[in-house]
Amino acid sequence: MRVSTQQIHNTGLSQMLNTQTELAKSNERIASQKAILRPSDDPVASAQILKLERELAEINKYADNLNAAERRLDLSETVLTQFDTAIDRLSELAIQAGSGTYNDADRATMADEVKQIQSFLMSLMNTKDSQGEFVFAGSLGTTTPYVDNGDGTFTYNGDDSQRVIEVGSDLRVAMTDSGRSIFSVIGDDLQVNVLGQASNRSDLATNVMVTDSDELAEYVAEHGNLTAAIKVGLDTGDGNYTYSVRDSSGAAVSGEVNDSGSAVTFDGLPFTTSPMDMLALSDAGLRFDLNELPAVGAGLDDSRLSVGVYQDTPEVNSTRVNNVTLLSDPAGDDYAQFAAAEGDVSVSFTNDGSGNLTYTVSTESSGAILGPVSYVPGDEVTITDGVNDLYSFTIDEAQPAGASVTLRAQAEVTLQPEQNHHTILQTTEEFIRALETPLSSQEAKNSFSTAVSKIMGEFTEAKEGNLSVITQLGSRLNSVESAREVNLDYELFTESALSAIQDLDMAEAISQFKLQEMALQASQATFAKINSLSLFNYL
Amino acid sequence: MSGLLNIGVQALTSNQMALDITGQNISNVNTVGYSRQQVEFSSRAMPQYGVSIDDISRTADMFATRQLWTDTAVSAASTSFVTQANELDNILASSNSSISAAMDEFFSALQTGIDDPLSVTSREVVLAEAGSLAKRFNTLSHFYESQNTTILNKVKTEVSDVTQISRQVADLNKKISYADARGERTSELEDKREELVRQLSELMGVTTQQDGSDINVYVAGGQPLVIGSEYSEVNVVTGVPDPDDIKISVNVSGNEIFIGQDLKTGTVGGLLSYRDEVLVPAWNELGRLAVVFADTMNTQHKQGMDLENTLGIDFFADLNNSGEMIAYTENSTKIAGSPAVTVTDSSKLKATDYVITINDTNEFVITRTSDGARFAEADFTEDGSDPVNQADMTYFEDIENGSLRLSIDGITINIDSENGFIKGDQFLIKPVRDGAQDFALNLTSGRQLALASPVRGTAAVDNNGAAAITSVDITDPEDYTFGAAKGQMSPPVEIVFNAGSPVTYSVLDMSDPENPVPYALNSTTPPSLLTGQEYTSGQPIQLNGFSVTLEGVPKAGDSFSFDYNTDGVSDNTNALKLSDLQQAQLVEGTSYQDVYGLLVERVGTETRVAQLQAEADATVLKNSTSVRDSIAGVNLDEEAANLIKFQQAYQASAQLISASRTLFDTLLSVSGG
Repeated sequence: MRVSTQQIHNTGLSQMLNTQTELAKSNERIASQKAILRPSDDPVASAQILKLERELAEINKYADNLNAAERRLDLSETVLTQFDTAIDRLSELAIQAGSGTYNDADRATMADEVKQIQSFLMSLMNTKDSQGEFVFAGSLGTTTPYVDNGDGTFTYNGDDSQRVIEVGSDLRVAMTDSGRSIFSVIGDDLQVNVLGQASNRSDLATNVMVTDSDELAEYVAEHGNLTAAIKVGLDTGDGNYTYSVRDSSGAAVSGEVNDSGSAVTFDGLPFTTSPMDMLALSDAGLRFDLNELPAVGAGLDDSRLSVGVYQDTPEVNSTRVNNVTLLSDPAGDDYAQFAAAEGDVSVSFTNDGSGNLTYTVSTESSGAILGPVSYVPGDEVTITDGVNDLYSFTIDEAQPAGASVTLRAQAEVTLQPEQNHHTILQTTEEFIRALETPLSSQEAKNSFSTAVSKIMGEFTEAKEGNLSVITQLGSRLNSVESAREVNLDYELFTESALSAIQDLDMAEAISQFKLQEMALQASQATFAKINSLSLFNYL
Repeated sequence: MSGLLNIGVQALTSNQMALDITGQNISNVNTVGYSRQQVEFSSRAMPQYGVSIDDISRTADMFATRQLWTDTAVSAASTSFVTQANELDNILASSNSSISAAMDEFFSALQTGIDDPLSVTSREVVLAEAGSLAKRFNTLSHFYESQNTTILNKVKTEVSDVTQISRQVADLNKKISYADARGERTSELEDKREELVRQLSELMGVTTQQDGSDINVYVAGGQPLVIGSEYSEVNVVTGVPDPDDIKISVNVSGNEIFIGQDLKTGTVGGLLSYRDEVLVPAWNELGRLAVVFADTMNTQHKQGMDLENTLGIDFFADLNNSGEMIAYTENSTKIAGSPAVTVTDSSKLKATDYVITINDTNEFVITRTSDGARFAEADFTEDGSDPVNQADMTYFEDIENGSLRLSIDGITINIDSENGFIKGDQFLIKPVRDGAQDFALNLTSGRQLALASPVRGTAAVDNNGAAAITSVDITDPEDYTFGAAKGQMSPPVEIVFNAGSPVTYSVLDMSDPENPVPYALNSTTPPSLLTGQEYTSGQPIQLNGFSVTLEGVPKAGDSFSFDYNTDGVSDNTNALKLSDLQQAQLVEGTSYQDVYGLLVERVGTETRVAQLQAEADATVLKNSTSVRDSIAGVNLDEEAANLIKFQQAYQASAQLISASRTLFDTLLSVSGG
């Protein structure tokens, strides 16, 4: 082939330039010690590097979180250990005080020490961290969790939330505990709250008494809250009122009326004595007086009444009748009058023979007042006494033929048993008061020893609660520790994977550099040689 | 005797000419495009004898030259492509501009907020990192934009060069045909013309056709650039309709013919291919990432509560309306009011532009530019019920009055025009292009960080069962529950379990704690009272504006209350949820950083392929240059040999004249003696 002078020149030149480019690249690699400088060097590996770097960042994040969690848990543990020591000292003092060998002056000194311990305990419970955040206030970090009400009781102002952080992928650890879960561990006596419309709440169920706390607690766990309802209906000879007591499933409960000695089911009973019947629920360890309402037309107004919805076919859910809205004037008594005259209202469903579902609304006195009407979902029905609208409701679900629902005028209250807890602060306060009371009489001595034994029991309860929390903290610290180990392993693994992808094999890179250097020298030598060859040299 | 003299003189001049040509060859050894010339001698017959110069030929092979032109065009394209791609590749390689690294920093700062939500310092750190993430987005977007501008400017310069060169080619065509007619030598002119055509190929990639002595040049599949002595002007039009885009047109006898799509070779072709295949997709991808990131972070942030007991505001600037719509200038009608492109579901968003065209039957057709998918009106369902929150693949239109609304891939497009639409009207939609550029931090103070949950769930102390609250999720922070009174929940809620089997619960409205009444769920029509609801452990219970999940077996009478988380400054629930978004599959089923990784990988792959292509094209070009050079290039050794050859021939020819004189003298002396 014929070769032009330009060609010779260009070939040599481009060879040198190429080798130089390669050399520069090798140089850059060696200087940065990275095998991959740009995504284009190895696109797949570049994406992998991004992913691995992200994983490393995440592991570091977890490592920071682990430290934070450990710091917090350690702080809690320290506080609780001190708390434990303080309880021990209190128990000791209680035992000494209970021994009966101390005079009033000794006991006053003892009271001083207990006061000291009490304020120490309170300072522990209101511990702040280095940022000034209350440690045991749940999520209310700026609110002082325990406050002395000045009357021997203490209020917890925090909430129940725990702060959770991530210490591994899909591994979260609670780093704080609420004061309530740690300190409020001493049970109060059971109390029963009466809930309902204001006027009913005040005078429907009165003298509510817990006769046996344990039984009541057990009963509530099975039956839930109780509802006492007085129905307004047709005069049965004993007046317009009958009453029922139901549990949260709607089933009527049983017990004795006026200590008659025989159990009856509280389901539509007339009042046997006026102005109230005494109801005793022996299974539930509970008794209360159920008061009669003022007579219809003589003081009963509609504000006390609501519409009770009862399904007559229990196998079908009662949410069929919805959105019951009272329309009558609460201050008037149209609804009460209507209920006394007409009795219950019922909605019953039938099949009209051609496959269509129809419903009929009827009252006990007048029979059918509406229908049969073809059923359309969402139908709204309004009940009136002929002059005023009393209430309305909607029918929302397709009904089986034969089903019926009863709507009943009633006054009701809910009895909600509730057990609260208090902290050792309150027990300590009781201890101080007991110690400060002079033992002047035998009576005082007796009540002092009763008080001390109760106080000792509560101290034990507090100590047990505290120990169980310390145990929990220990196990959480353990899981933090094992998470840290897993993270370290993972970090090592990720780093070595990353290094394998992006780090340069120095030996290989340098030998390649040498090779390229030689190639460049060779091309330079040949270029010079070839270009010096010319016929003109010989002319 | 005079024959010998004549032969001598002829030989002398012929070799003189050969020496001149050798000189010409030697002197042009480095002239670009020069084709070596050769003197063709021929012997003369009786009676004159001697030598004559038939031709001074230009040693060129048209096929080799054409091949060179084609290969030049291809190589120029891949070289310009790879130069731009390398720049982007370099930017993505730098950890200083990595979005993924910035996100790592941001989420890691968020952890300090999770560890210590009350600390204003750690809150400010979160904001600072969020700000630097925003800057990264802006910087990278700015790079895209400036690279785009660079490309547009380059294309403009090169296109104006094309017109210049075309004019010169046309001019040379004219000169060569005149010279030809006069029988003058045209070698040098042809060399010059071929070099100019090569330059044209380098710029735009042209095809040629030999027509007599003329070379006609065509561009982009047959548009005439040079025909004989006429040339067409090539123009660049910007801003039609997209200000980020340009169009190239050839003015063929008064008609502007757009050729942009067909330009694949030459520097211009390479630049345009790079822009369409790498830059714009990467730009849209980054924009989409910004839009999705802002949308998902904002949505979660608004479900939280800040240090002032108020619900969170947008964390980052709301980008859901940052999409742009541009009507084509050729359209029959103008846009009335502000056109709206709204992101309705960021998880479905695609990194692409769209073009809407009104077709012959007055129906719309929408084309997704990223994959060329076309959707006709028939693919959509008509639904005019709600202007903004329409489901995907629904539309409403009123062609005569010029209003069109359609939803696709998580965006809703609203077009209102002054008059009705007519066929051929076109609209360009860029839903995400400006996302990364507009990405900005919205919060101004660390106290505004909504790290807490606005709802506090509390289990009653005396609960006997094992049920516990496992999560509270805000489903609609704009619900009445949170909106009725600032910093309050209306109403507070309690869930109480009933006796009996299956386990049921009732939800109570605790506005008056002493007279709980059944709670009404407003999302159903009519609102339904939540009494006697069947309980399933772990299944969310939907309430107004939020849902709660309980797990475990409750006992009758167990209750859980939910109220506004007033002063819940140490709560980090929402911060944890924000942090969870880092791993969540939010961008078309992929996490934020994986999307960025894919972008890097794709640009890397495209650059790598382009580099290999450029190398291959350069080798091909080198070969075809070699072929051309080996035919037409000057070899100095050859010329030196020729020099010796012609010099000797010249000297010998001179000897002929001298011999002829000696003969003449001899004759004279004989006749005279």
